[in-house]
Order: sequence, then C-alpha cells, then structure tokens
Amino acid sequence: MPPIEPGAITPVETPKKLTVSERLKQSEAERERLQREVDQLSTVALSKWLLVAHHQQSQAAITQTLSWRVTKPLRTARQVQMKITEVGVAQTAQVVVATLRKRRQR
Amino acid sequence: MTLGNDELVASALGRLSAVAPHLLHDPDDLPSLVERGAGPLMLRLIEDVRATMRNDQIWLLCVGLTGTFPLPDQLRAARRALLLSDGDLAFVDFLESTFDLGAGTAGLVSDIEIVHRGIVVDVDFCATHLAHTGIQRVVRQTMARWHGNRDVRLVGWTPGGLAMRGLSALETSRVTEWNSYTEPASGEHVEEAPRFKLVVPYESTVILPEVPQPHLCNVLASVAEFSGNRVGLIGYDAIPIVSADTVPPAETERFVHYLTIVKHAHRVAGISAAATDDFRGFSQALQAQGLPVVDSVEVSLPIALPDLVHEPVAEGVASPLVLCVGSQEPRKNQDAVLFASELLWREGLDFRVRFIGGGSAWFTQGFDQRIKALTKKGYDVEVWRGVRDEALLASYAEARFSIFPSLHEGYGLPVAESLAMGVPVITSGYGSTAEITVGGGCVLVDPRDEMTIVEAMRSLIVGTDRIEELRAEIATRPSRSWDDYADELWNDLVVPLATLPLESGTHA
Amino acid sequence: MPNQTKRDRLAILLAALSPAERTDAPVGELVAMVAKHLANPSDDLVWLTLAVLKARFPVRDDVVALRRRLRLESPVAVISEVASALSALSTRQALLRPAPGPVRVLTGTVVVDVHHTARTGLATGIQRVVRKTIAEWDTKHDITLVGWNSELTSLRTLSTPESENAMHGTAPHARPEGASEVLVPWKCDYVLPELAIEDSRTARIAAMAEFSGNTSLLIGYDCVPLTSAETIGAGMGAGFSRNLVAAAHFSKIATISAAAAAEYGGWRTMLGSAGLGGPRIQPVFLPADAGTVNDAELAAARAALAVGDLPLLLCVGSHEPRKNHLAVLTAAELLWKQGGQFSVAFVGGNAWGSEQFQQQLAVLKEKGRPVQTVTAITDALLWGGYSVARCTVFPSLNEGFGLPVAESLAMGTPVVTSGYGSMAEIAVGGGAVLVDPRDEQDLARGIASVLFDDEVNEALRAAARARAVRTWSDYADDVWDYFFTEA
Repeated sequence: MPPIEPGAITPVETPKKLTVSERLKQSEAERERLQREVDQLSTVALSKWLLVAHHQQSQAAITQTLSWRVTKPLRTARQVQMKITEVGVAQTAQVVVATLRKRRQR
Repeated sequence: MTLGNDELVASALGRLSAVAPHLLHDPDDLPSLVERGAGPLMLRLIEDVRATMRNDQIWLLCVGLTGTFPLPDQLRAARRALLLSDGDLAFVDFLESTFDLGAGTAGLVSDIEIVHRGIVVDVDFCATHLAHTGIQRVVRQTMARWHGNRDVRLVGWTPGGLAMRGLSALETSRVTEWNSYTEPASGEHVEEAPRFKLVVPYESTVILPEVPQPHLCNVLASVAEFSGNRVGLIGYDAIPIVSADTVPPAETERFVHYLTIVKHAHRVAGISAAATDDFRGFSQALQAQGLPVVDSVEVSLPIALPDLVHEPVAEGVASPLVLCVGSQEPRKNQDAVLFASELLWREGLDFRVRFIGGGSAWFTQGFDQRIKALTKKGYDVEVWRGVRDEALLASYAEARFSIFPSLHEGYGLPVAESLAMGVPVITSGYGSTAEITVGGGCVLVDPRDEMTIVEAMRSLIVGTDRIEELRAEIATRPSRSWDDYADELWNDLVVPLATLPLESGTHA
Repeated sequence: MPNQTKRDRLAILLAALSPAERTDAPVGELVAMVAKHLANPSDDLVWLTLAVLKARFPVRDDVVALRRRLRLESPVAVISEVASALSALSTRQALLRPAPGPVRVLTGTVVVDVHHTARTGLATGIQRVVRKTIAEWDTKHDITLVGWNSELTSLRTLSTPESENAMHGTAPHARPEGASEVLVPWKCDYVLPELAIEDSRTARIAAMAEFSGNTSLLIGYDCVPLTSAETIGAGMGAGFSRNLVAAAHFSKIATISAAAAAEYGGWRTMLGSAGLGGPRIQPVFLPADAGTVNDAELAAARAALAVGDLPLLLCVGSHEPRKNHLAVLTAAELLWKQGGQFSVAFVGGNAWGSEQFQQQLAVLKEKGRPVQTVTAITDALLWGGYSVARCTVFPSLNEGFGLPVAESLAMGTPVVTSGYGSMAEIAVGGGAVLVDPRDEQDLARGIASVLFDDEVNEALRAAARARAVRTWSDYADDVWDYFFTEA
C-alpha cells in the first residue's frame, strides 16, 4: 500500500485543537451564515406566496405545490439552527449527514 | 397589473414596516429586521403576535401582510392557524390561512397608512354618490363642520370593500362642500380611482355616520369585533325591523346585516330619543350572547332652516292649503290624509290639499289613481313631484298647515322643516315626531285612528284662532342649528370613544 | 256539501255579532242588521265582517280600508258589496282561486295554531317543544288544533292524522281531509306555539292580533335572526321580522329562557318608536327529557361513537356557525397536541354555513385524530351517546335554550358550555363547567378539566344527578297558567 500523502485524499474534518475563543468565533460565524440562509429562505417563501397570491391561484394549488416544497428547506434550516444552538456545529453536522443518509435510503 | 417578485416583496415590506411598531415586542428591533428582509420581519411579527394572541394584533397583522381588511371568518382562520401551529410552522400556517384574504387583491400592491390613536370617519356613500336624502343631509352638514375644524380623517372604501382608503379632492368636496362645490358633468372629467393609499385605523376611533352599504357590513363587523378600534355610529332608526311589514323584505335583510356591525360597536348616537331607544333595546337583547352593552346616547337632529328662506305669502282669496310633504309610501300614511280630507270635504269644508314628494311605482301608481278619483269628484287635491327647493318653500309659505301622520319615523324631517318655515304641523303623537312637537306649534294625532286626524284637520281649517295660537307658539320655540348638532355629536359620540381606555382586544 | 251562500255567511256573521237576533230574514234585511252593528265601526267587528263575508282572513290594509269606507259611504251599500264579493267573482277568478270552504265561527275556545308541526316529520327543538306541550294540554284542557289552508289565507281545523302528527310526529305525510272549512275565531284565545314566517300567514296573524279582539299568545324561542344575523341564511331576517310585527300585537309571550326574554324584551323596547307597547314577556323555562337506554343500545352507541377505550367527548347539534363547532375542533386539537387521550364525536347534521367546519374536520382526520361525525340520529343513539360520553360540550354563541345541555345533565353526564345566556341558566342547577366560547383556549381548559380530572368529573356527575327534575307536564302546566290563569 503506498504511503498516504497529506492533501492527496479528500480531506476529512479532523477536530483540531482550537482555543475556546476561536471555537466561539467559529460557532458565531456559522450561526450568522445559517441565519442569513434562513432569512433568505423566509423571504423567498414569502415572496413566492405573494407571487402566487398576486396571480390568484387557488388555495389548493398553494398547499400542494409551493408551501410544502418551499418550506421543507425552511423547516430544515430552522431545525438546523436550533440544533446548533443546542449542541454546537460539529455535532449538528453529523446529525444532518446521518439524516440525509437515512432519507436517501427511504 | 402584474408585478414581479421584487416589487411585491418591496410592497409587502412597506406594509409590514408600517404595522411593525404596533406589533413588535421590541420596536427597536425594527431597523435590523427590515435590513434582514421581509421574511425575517414577518417571522418575528408572527412570533410576537402569537405570544399575545390578541385579536386586534392579529387583525393588524393580516392587514399588514395582505393590504386587505379581514372578514370575521378570515380573522378566525388566521387566529386558529396561530393557535394550532407549532412554533416553527406558525409562519407557514399563517401564510396558508391568509392566502384567501390576499389572493387576487390590489391590497398586495398597496401602501398603507396607519392612523394611530386618531379619528377616522367612514363617508364612503356620500363621497361617491349624489343622492341627498335624510341620511346624506345629516352626514354632509356634520362633516362640513368637522372637516378642517376637527382632527378627523375622512375615508371611503376600495372597490369591493376590501380596505379603507383616503378620498380624492372631488370626493371630499361631495362630502364637505355640498352646497358650494361643482360636480363635473358626466364625461367632462373622468375621475379614475387612483391607487389610493389605504388607511388603516389602529387603537383609533372609527365613526360610521352613514348606514353602510350591504357589501361593507361584513368587513365593518370584523372591524368592530376584532380590530380593537372603538366604533361609533349615528343611529337613525330600526324601521326595517319594527315596521318590517312596511318595507320590502330586501330592506329588512340589509338592515339585520347592518345590525351585525352595531352589535360589536361601542357607542350609538341616536337622532331622536325614539331612535336612541331603538338601539338601546337592541343592545339589551345582546345580553343573551354575553356581549357588552352598546352605549346609546341621544343627539337629536336640529330644527334648522333650509338653505333658502322665502317671504311669507298672504293667504288671500284661495282656500286654505293643506301641505303634505314627504316620500309617498304606506308607512307615511298619506292615505289617511286622503280619507280625512274626503270626509271633511263631504262635510262642506273648503280647502286644498297638496302632496309634495315621490315614491316607488308599486305604491304611487295606486296612490295617483286614488288622487285622480278624488279630483274627478271635484275635490282640489294634487301631487307635485321632482320639485326644486324654491317650489317647496313657496308651498310652505302658502300653506295654512302641514300634515305628517307617519306610522313610524326615525326623526321626521318634514315636521322640523315645517316648523322652521313657521308653518304649524299635524303629526303623530308618539315616537320621534312627538319629540319634535315639544316646544309648540303642533297638533298631535294617533295615526292609527283616522278620526283623530279628521278632528285635528277640522280644528285648523275652521276658523283661524287655533292656527294663530300655533303660529305664535312656533315663534317662541327654542332653536338648534347644525352647528349645535355637529358640536354635540362630537362631544357625545366621538370624545367618549376617543378617551376610552385602550382595550387589549383579547378575550380572557 | 253545498257551498255556502251569501245569505248563509251573513247569517253566520250576524249570529256571531248578536246571538239573540233572528237570522232567518231575507238578505236585504240581514245586510241592514249587520250594517247597524257597523255604524260606528269598531276594529274587531270590521275584522270579523271581512273574515266571514269574504271567507278569507284580512290583512291590515283590508281592515283599515273597510273601516274608512264605512265612515265615508253608506254602511248598507258597503256591506252589501262586501257580502257579494265572493259571488261577484268572475268565472275566471273563481276558477283561479279555489272555492273557499264553508265559514264557521268558533267562540270562546282555545285555538292552537300548529300548521307547520302538523305537516312535518322534523323533530328538532321547536317541534319537540310544540308536540310535548300540546300533547299535555290535550289531556288536560279543551283545545282546538288548527292549521291554515293551502294559500295561507284562513284557519281550519286539522284532520285526525294531522292532529296525530302535530301531537306525536307519527304521521309526517298527513294531509287535510274533507272540504276545507274557514274557521274564524271570535272571542277566543289564539295560541301560536310554533314559529310562523310565511308572509301570507304572518300578515294575517298580525291583523287578527291587532284587530279581531281575540287574545293572542306566543311561545317565544329566540330572536337569533335579529341578534345574530351573521349566522343565518338569506331570507330568515325578513320573515322573522314580520313574525315579530305580528307578535307586537300579542298579549303575552312565554319565552323558553330568561335569555330569550332578554332578546324579546330588547325588541319590545324598540316598539316604542312605532307607538306600540308590545306584549307581556315572561320566561317559562323548558324542561329536559332524560331518555332511557337498554344495554344493547348502550353497546351500540359505544360501538358507533367511541374509539377503543378513549374517553368520549360528545357534541350534539347541527354544524351551523352559531353552534361554534369549529371552536370545539380547535380546542380538541390543542388538547391532542398536548398529548390528551380522548376521542370526539359530533352527533348532528350539516346545516347552512358548515363548510369551514367540514374543511377543518377533514384536516384533523387526515392527521389521524380520533374525531367523527354522525348525522343519522336515532333516539337510541342520542341517549346512548349521552350515557357513554365522559363529557359533552355545547359552546354555542347564541341560544334560546340549548336542549343538548339540559339533556346531557338529565342523563347525568357533565357538560362544558357557554358561560352566558340560556346555557348559563341551565347550568345553575349543577353539573356544568362554564367557558368563554369565543376563547378556544378557555374552552380547551374547560374540556380538559372534565375529561381528565377524575375528581372534577365525579363531582359534576353527582351534581347533575342531584338536579331537580322538571317534566314536560310541569312546563305545559306553567305555560297554560301564565297564558290563562295569571292576570
């Protein structure tokens, strides 16, 4: 087996030994990034609602097509955000990956 | 008009920013929320409103989102969505529940202006119609005096009755300058309904001086029940209920729906003691539904001069003229006047009778035939219709007395008019007309007993003593002007509402 | 049976006006004798004259017009013309209008108008009150059950099957029998125990009450079309208001609760502006049946309404908006979300305006909530339901009485109901929890306390069992006493 050279394989996140303040800053940045995503998602959801309402589509149409599709990522993002607040970024990432794997299996 | 996403979102952001100061738990957060976008602002508003579940806040949030005032069922649906949603999904559930409220409406592209702790007056009908009968006269006289002197915002409604809106200059003139403005000839000036700014009262007083048109009753009932605004009305009468047999069924239907606003209103100013009792009685009935009493206060209409004054005409050779002014319909009891007149003519009395006023064909056709039958017998009786003010005033000047034995009135303008012209009047001895007679110049009758009408007419036709007495009484009657009325209405209807402690709008 | 002649009707009229006078004189003389009575026409005589001679109850305008003609013209000529009106009909008119039956004047009796109840199989609130009441009266007093002719222009006695159906609801297809007579009450008591809203009928009842001199008496249920117009369909507002126009001339109204008395009382205040005093108004509280259920019926009810071992919340009544069933669904969902274990069964039917309820019901069913509606109600299912239920709920927004509240308590089952109006009146006797029906959270709290708290539930059951019993016999007696014995 040839020796493994650093950088030759897809890097895996190895938990580096960070200082407390560095870890805090990282969490903050992650949180802000997710917050912006959630913000964007909510504005997108609202904007789609406005567009459909403006064009007078039926209530059934919106339930079936838009709200569930649009808000699935919204809901996911909210859950993600809350999880991060609970348990931190790294663990949340693991949970997300696991959930996605499970979903693909269904 | 179709818009792209960006414009719709910008419009929504504008509306939401307008309502936010009244809904946010921490209004200081508004600038940062606006910067983050309409979505986050909406999310936070829903969160904060959901925490209180106050109806007035739910109402305002619905208006902010959709630019449309919610109907009662729509507000309850939005409320239900907030109650039943899990925190995460409140946003989604609320949007779903209000979709029908906003769908296809111009509200989504409208700007709104909140009137907070102010006074809003709904004059939609007077602003958009040229009719000028009883109710419109009261509204126009009052608004002419409030506009410019009192801090009020006159509003109408958008097409379809979806939201309140400001008035154009022409519309304002129709309401406040009736006697002096010029109505553009049709075709000369097409006033397009511009994109009005929507007016949204909040923690304000909303005055309904008109009887709202049917398509506005539901949305106004919702304003009265849920929006937290204090609603005050001018109460004219309850004729379509109490004397339902004298009006077409459709009118009774319309009136019971008008009552759905009254039942949630806070104060009613009746135009007579009788009208006030009508609304007081209705309010009593509401106990059975656990609803609070609607305060009823009397602010009687004035006895004021019409706008032109005529010189009295000497009676001269012609036989005494008996004048009967008013719309012609069963409730006004003109047939009783015909009966009494015929009986007196047969006795040999010499007098003329003139009816002035119009009516619906289903009644006037028969009425005109009865007039014709009398003229055929040689009696002097006539009907004038579509007369101008001058002709009416000339008739008052010529008349010995006028007669108005109506079976049921909210006020009885013809009685007041006659007295203002110095002409004694025979009228019904109960209800609002009886109130007007206090102070003299009148003879009271029981309109359901035509022999009392015969007696009264005879007493004023034969000899002149009684007539002279009555004329003298009229000269000493106290007078009240429209200025007095407008001031009293302000003090007794508006001020008490405006100074009510703010309701939380919640129940339990 | 030969048709009555003009002479016959004049004779009948005269006999009623003046029983001592001879009525075998020729027509001309009869006319003169009648005219003498009408020389100074009093309203009751004018009304009677029109009803008998024209074989048709007059409306207000008819009475007023004849009264005036009698003053202006020669009474003899006027009476002669009125008496000839029927025979003066052209052949075409006579063909278009069915020939009126013979006129009969009834004096000194209690006449009870059950026109609608006699012809319907319905067994909802009003019909039950009418049937129970007149069945009781029939055993104790001398009453004449009447209905109206097909044009709703005059009264007639009921056929035997119609009377059966009026009293017991056992012959919903009952039809009039024999030649339809025109029954004219004179110096009688006219009782209207049901709701009349047909224009032709209410106009004639109004004129009869105002002019005929008969004493008119009403059972008053509620004024919902006036006070909660947002909860009724189109048309009811006008019809009901015209019913009230008639009621304005009645002597007494026996309302089924104090709340209903408040509604009628408020309306009576409004009459002042038309110069009318209106009737006396007094509540005579309705009773409640307690049905009986055998074991088989109990089991059947449990199978139909309950879900497994879950405690059952029962809601009886139609789904019209006034009954507020949407709030029940919302309150139930709040409790289910909190983990509450119970099922909900609605026993009642669809009604005007129940679309939102149906929608919300579908949403909850889709979520898998244990909720169902049953529309085909038999007595057994109803009483069985009350017995099986852990709790019933009735958060109506406006009621004249609220039979399901009283029935539930009569069966010993606690009820959650509105804390005002007639429902609060019923609750005074014990066994109920009162809530604000406009607050879904308050409703949920009320339901939770009865469903999940054993102590509360037991205490309420004991209180319900201890309630005083009031029977239909008590009710019927009380109404009769109020109408006929009290001043």
